[in-house]
Amino acid sequence: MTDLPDDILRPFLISLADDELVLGHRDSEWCAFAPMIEEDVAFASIAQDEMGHGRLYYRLAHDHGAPEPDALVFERTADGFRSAVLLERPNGDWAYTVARHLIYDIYDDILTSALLGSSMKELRDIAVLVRREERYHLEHQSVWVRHLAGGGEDSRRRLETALTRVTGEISGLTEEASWHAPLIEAGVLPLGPEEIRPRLEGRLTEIFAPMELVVPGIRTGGGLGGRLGHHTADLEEALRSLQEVWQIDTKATW
Amino acid sequence: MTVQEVMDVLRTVKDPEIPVISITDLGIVGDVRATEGAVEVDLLPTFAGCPALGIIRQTVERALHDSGAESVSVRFVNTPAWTTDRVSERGRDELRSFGIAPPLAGAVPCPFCGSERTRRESAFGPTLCRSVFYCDDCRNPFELMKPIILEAGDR
Repeated sequence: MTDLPDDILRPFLISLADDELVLGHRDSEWCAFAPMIEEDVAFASIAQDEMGHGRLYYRLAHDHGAPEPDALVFERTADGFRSAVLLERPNGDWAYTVARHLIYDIYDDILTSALLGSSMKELRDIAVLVRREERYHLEHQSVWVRHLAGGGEDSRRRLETALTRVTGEISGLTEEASWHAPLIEAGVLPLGPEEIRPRLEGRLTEIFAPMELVVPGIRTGGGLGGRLGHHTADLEEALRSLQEVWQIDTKATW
Repeated sequence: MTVQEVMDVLRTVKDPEIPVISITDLGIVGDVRATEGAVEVDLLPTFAGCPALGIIRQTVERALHDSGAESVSVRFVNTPAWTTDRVSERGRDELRSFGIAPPLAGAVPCPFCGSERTRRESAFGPTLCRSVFYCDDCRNPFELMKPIILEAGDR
């Protein structure tokens, strides 16, 4: 257990969950539209996994005074979300989808690896569950990036364009918020955004250098605002679709 | 009910996505507490996003009520983490009889002809817990229960 006040823990846990939910929603949009049927299936699975991880964090947030997970997902407006702006962007082409996912998965790997050492037992337990499944995502996206980099001229150019776009907004993942300092102080979050950033850059160079791809420097200041609830019209559009059925009859039981 | 009686009931509850294997053989039953009329069951989620979890919980509750338990509480707990090491030997046989190779890292024998000339087509299959394989000998596609393990550093 931790002595931290719930109002510091809650926005942090919700930010973790929102990242997973919003990317999971984008993943689900490939179902029936992916370039091949295996990828329809893969992205449907990956979407379910990410949303499942989100649910673990939402439940923990609920244990600390937040509304029920369903209410958090279906009844909040965009300004209540604490996810990174990068993750709300439409899927774009396959290269953008894969590049963004791989980079998010690496960030998630660094973060959950650190959470294994959290002072909060419930977070350590969740990190173990998430990591069991995430290695399949990392493997999948890494294979795709290699395919794209080693494919034709068009696929390589698309991957380069995608990397430029993603790295332009990547700093939204490690955007500082008011909850970080007390969480780091209490050992709940063993690795702060400042320390995650260089590790993320290092891992990206490690992956892309052998493909002779230069990762454009992570643009600091790009894609900020999400952690504080400032989003783009892209999140509003995503939420209209995600919440559409719920909003038809908010009292229906399932 | 006694804990033993509860376990006997749980053995009759099948996984809705792989209806040959019971939840006890799947290894998702954690702590079970039983007193006079009250029964508490802890279940371990397989995959965090598995859509069958709610159905499994309802089925367990109904089965225990039908067997005479007055008050039943079934909850999912996050620890210990479920891994495919928890699938019993009988469960592995049942998976094979259903055409699903039991979870194995390394060479995966075809559940139909036993050949090891098999290859993975995709890590992701029709449910979160299955990967798609192909057998180069009997030329059947088949599925593998996706191995879920804890890496050394993750325990």
